[in-house]
This record gives sequence, C-alpha cells and structure tokens, in this order.
Amino acid sequence: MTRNMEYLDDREFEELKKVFYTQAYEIMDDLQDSVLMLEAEPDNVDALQAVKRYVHTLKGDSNSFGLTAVGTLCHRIEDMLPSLLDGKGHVEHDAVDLLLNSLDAVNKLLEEGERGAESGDIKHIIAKIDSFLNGRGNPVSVAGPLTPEHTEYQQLRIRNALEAGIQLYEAEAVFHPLCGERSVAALMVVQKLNGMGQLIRSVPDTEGGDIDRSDRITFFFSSGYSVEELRKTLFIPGITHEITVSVWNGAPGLQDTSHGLHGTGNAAEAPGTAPKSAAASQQNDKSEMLRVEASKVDNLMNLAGELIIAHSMIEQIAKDAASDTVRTDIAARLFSAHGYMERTVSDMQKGIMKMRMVPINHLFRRFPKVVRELSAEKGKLVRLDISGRETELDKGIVDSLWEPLSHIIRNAIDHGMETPSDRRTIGKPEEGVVALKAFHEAGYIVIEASDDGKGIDTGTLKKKAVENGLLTEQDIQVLPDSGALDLIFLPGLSTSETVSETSGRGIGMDVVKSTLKGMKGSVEVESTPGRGTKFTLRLPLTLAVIKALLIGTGDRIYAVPVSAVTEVARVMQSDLTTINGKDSLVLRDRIISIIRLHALFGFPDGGDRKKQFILIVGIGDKKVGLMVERLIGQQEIVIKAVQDQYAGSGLITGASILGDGRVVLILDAPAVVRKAAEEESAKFRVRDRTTMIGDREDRGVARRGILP
Amino acid sequence: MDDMVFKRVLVVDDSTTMRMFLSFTLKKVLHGIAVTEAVHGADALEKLKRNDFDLVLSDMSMPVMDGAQLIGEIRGPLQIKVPIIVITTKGEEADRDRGLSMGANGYITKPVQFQELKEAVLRCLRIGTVIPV
Repeated sequence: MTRNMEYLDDREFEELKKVFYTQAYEIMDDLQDSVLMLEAEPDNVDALQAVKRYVHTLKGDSNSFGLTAVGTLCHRIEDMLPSLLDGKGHVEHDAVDLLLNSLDAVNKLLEEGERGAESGDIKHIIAKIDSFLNGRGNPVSVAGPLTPEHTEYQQLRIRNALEAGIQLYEAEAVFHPLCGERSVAALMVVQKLNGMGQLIRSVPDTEGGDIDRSDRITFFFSSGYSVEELRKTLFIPGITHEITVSVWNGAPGLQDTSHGLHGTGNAAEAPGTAPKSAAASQQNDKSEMLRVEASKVDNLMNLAGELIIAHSMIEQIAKDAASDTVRTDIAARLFSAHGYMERTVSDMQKGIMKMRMVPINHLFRRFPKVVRELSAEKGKLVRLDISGRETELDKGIVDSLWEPLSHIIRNAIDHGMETPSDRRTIGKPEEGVVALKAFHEAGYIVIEASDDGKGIDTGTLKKKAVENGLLTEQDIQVLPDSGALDLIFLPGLSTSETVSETSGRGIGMDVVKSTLKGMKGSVEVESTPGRGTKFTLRLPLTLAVIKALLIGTGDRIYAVPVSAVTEVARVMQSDLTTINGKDSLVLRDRIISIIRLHALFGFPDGGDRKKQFILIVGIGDKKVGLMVERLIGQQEIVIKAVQDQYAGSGLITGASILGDGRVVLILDAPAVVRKAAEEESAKFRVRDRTTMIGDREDRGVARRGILP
Repeated sequence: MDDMVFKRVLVVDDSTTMRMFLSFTLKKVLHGIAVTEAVHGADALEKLKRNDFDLVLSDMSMPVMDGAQLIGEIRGPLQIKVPIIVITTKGEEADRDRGLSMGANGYITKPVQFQELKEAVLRCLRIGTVIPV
C-alpha cells in the first residue's frame, strides 16, 4: 500500500484507516444490494445511479487513502458498468456475474489491506474484465496523446516554475517486466519525484486502467536537480528501468489561459438538476450518523443497569422511611425524588438501547447473494422474498443471527427445494420461493424463514432417530407429529449425511438451536409435506433490561416480562370453569386454560385460593392464563444470566436482583405458553411416555417445538 | 506566519473518508484552520446560511445536491463571494469544467496530493505569494 500521507501522524492515520475500512465495507454492502436490485429490476434508474456512485466513491476513497489496487480495480469496474444493461431494458447476466466476481476481488483487497497484508494480484480479474469488454467490441480506452494538453492547474505550475527559474524536465520510465501493479509502481515513482521537485503531469495518468496496460510512463515536472541525479532517483530496482530524462521547454500555448483560477464571482447559470433518487435519499439518511464503538455503548448500558438497581434501592429506603412515623416527610421527599429518577433512568436506558438497535436489513441484505449462488450451484430456481427489512433489533443479536439463519436458508435451498423439473411434475411453479420475514411481537423480534419446497418427512426422521439410538420404538409410537419434527434439532441426528439426503433436512440444526438458546431465544419448526417448511426464530428485542411484572406465590417471587402480559384479571375460584378436566377461564367468549404458578414449578400450593390473579400471557395467537396468588408490582429489571440448575425447568430465562437484594427468577413467557399447550395435548397421550421423552430434553429434544 | 491566521473552511463531500482526510490535510496546510463538514450540497447550503466561511472545498459528485448545484446556489440566490475549490476525479474533466463554469475559483484532483491542495487553498485564501490575485 502506498501511503500518500506521510504528513499525517500515526493517530490521524489510524483514525482515517478505521473510517476508510468501515465506510468501504458499507459501500461494498450497499453496492452489492444495488447490483442485485438492478438485476431484479433492470429499469430501476435509481439502482443504476447508486451503483455508479458507490463505485465512484470507493475509487476516490481508495486512491486517496493509498489503496491504489482497489482504486485501479474500481476504475475498470466503472468501465464495464455500461455493459450491465443491453439497452433494451434487459440485464446482461454474464456482466452481472463478472461484476459480482470483481466485487469479491475488491472485498478481498480491502481485507488484505486492512490486515496490512500484501495486496493480492488483480491482473487476473482485470484481464477478465478486459476480455469481457473486448469480446463485446467495447473499445478499451487507450492512453492519452503524448502531446500534452495541460489543464489550467498544470499550466499554472509550469508558469510558476518558469517564473521562479526552476528547470522543467520530461522523464520516461519503462516498467520492469516483472513489475505487476503498474499503478502502484507509478505512484512510487511519483513519490520519489515529489521529493525532488513538482510533478506537473504524467502520461498515461497514474490512476486508472490505462497505466496497467502501458509498458512505460512519461512524467513532466519541475525540479532543481540535475538530469543525472533525477535519472538515478527514478531507477527503482524491479520497478523501473531504462530511464530517460531530458530538459523540457514547457507546453505550447502557455500564456493563453482561457479560464483562470482566480476570477471570483462568476454568476451562476441555471443549476443542473440531478435526480433525487431513492438511493440518494437513503444515503442522505445515513449522513448524520455518528459512529461509536459498540463497547462504549455496552459500557453505558451496564452503567444504566447499575443505576436501575440503585434506583430500586432508593425505593426500598423510601418504603422503610414511610413505615417510621418520625420520618414520613423524608419518605415523601424520597418518593418524589424516586419518581423523578425513574422517568430519567427509564428515558436514558431507552435512549441507550436505541443506540444499539439496527434494522435487520443489515442481516437480510446478505442473503440475496447466498440464494443466488447456492441455487445456481444446486440447479434450483429460487426467488427470495424479504419483508420487514426495517424491523429493528439489537446489533449484537443481528451479528450472531447470521450463522443460524444462513444455515436454515442453505438447507432450504439445498434440501427443501425441489428441482424445477420436479416442481413442474407435481404442478408447482418452477420457481420456488424462500421467504425471510421479520416483525416485532410482544417484546420479541420474530424472524420467519420459510420455503415452499417438499417439507420434512417425519417418518424418516423417526426412523433415523431409532436407528441412531436416540429414541426407542416405544417413544416413537407415542410421539406426536409435531414432536417428531423437533427431532431435527437433535445433535445425534444432525451429523448423518444420509439423513440429509433422504429426509431433506438435518445438518447442524442442533447448532442453530443452541445458538438461539444462547441468545435467550427460541426456534420452532412447522412443516407440511409437499407444501414447505417454516422456521420461526424468536429473540428478545434486547438483552439487558426489561419491564417486568413481579408476581408471587407463597414466599416466592417471579418476574414476567410486561410485554408478554396482555391483561391481568382478578378472579375467585368460582369464576373458573372446568373444561376437559382443566381449569379454564372464559374471557370474552374465549376459553383460556389456566396454569398455576406453583404447579408449574412443582412446589406446594400457597393456601389462600379465594381470590387470585390471572395474568393472560400471550405469544402469537396462543394465550394462557397464569394464576398467581400475589401481584407485587411493575418494575424495570436487569436481566442476569442464571445457573443451569435454576434454568433446568426450561421455564426460566434469567434472574434479577431487586432493590432489597432479593433475587427473582424471570419466567420465559413463550415457554410457559407452550408448556400449557403441551399439557393440553398430552391429555391424549400416555403421560409417562411423554415424561420420558421430556427427560431427554436435557440432551436436546425439545417438546412441541419450544426450545427455551 | 501560518499560525497567525484563523480561517474557516467548509468541506463538502459525501464520503466520510474524504471528509476526514481533507480535514486532517487542511490542518497540516494551515494551523489556524477550522474545518466544518457537510455531507452534500444541501447540507452545505444550510451551514453557509448560518456561518461565514473563508473557503468552500467541495466534491462534485454527491447525492441530494451535487457540487455544480451547490455552486449555482452560492453564486446565484445566495450571492456569497466565498472562494470555492472543487474536488474532481482524474479523467473526469467534464465535472471540473462544469464546476469552474458555475463559478468555482479552482480545483484539485483526486487522489489529492498535499502540495496541490496546499497551493490551491493558500491561493484562494490569499495567503503567501504563490500567485498574485
């Protein structure tokens, strides 16, 4: 890499480097999006404009930063952009392929540059672009004429030199045959020259594709050094040889400067109107962004968490003071301060959380390329539908979702999707659809990845589970179909290649599950044979702080995320009816089955059953009533990780410390809802069999698709 | 002498890298320089309306409002006589000519060379004796 910026100190250079690479990768992402968008909609003028501008910006940045290999390649990419469209409103797919290949090469160069590695060879890809352009009869631009037509600025430099009595020179350097990167080589020579005088111009230009096809370069410059000294300096072993330096008389027509550099105040003519494209305004939205290191935001988040604990402590002190008759005025003041602090802390914490939120498009945007490449490789015809791109979620979660989600999508194309001819045979459209959808629901972000392929054959899954000794024949007989689907999340089932061939699924789904579990999320699968498969990933919106409802039974306190509670009802035992042998509540013509908190965790009933509270907990369209003895209050709590022995029930998602130091366990609302549903369906099953399968949960079998 | 002057420069470029690069470089050109950044022409116009600048250094190709439009606004409706230097790309002379014909006072080419930038800036700020204006 040529560092054209010796005058910057190390700190400045490092800062610039960070910004350059961050922006370069962003541009590459946007560029790739725009190329794919253009391929899908050839008449999308905005997309074409965006592609052009992204390449242009990247070229300028890279050259200025000194990563000239990227600059050179971008310049060649610019040359091929006109070939993307055939002029009849169609996209040239081979041009798009070559463009995407070139972008991969740019990415590689960027990564090498960032690592400080020697930049790899770009001759190969440049040759490909050249032969592509030549093959189309597009003229490859050739080096400019040797009769120099100097720009005003160059003329000014010549004039200055002449006025100051500095000698003008013309030097020709032939590139060494082994010198690969000519644009870089030329810049090395330019640097040497700049140390000895002032460059006026070079032919060909040191930037751009021409230089890489030229075997020599001519410089026009002014210098106080002698011909011999210059000749010695310009000779760089392995880069240049055959240096010719001669005195130059300057360019003809020097005195005739048509428009000077110093005429101020030329009244403007009608300003040109550039179209305001969607891509342009998109870029505009980004412009006011401030880049902050994630660790700094995380630190603020932790501090806000500590503040929330401190805040709860103040509340406790206020309560203690209120019970002391002497200190009631202090209590009142404490409560009012507490209330004020509550609003501030809450706003602050929301603000910090928002800083961490990014649109899921950061993740989704990477999939068109995956789908495009993999479907081509596997001979499938697949369209990717993406919706809910703007859905926001925590940056940390976005980053860790790439692996599991790309795994699911790859499986969908590789194993789920039929070949176009198979699809035609069974009366499906030849083009299959893989869909990615994101939306918010009850404090969770939900991501659905579905395909309209052949679905999962539960029969094969069951057979395989028995063959691999994961389940017994008896287990299988009592296993409902919905449970059988979850077998794909079993570690033992996932490694076998034959399963993936026969069942169409099964590689590494256990890893998907464990990744989601690590993020306090869950994954469910639904599948209809012949119709397709849908994976639903559910994740908490953010990882740190939630608003929770504190509930109690006996002397135990639990927390439920408020977002999962749709309403709270106060009921008497007489309000409940028994349906199918289960306590149920009829609420606005809807039957809601009741699950008791103490029963959920298997500890004795607290006693007072006359009046209790029912929390209606809903996830999706499933609702369940959670019966508790006491409703303690609503509070922001900081989620802390819990030991496995507490989480073993599969119904706990974390723990938190209250202001008075007590520890509460946080219920995993989706898990509670599923558990209730499961008990319902278990009625039709032999209970001890179900329990037996349940025992295997520790080894990874999830019942009813819920993976807490 | 450089330390004795205080000049305000508005750098207009949609690329964060270029803005930072120019801002660092300008500070090496002249110690008493204060750089304000704008991300496109419209942003620059807002800043020009609110503040006085001694120099505008603007990219030509930008979203929302490009360099030529910006110069048009400055020289037209706003009637501000601030010197303008346009930043163009080598090999794209049309951009440069458009900028100059709209009323820019000078130009520099990307990749920006320190000496070239320095001369152009000092000339426009009328500092030193590079060329009598």
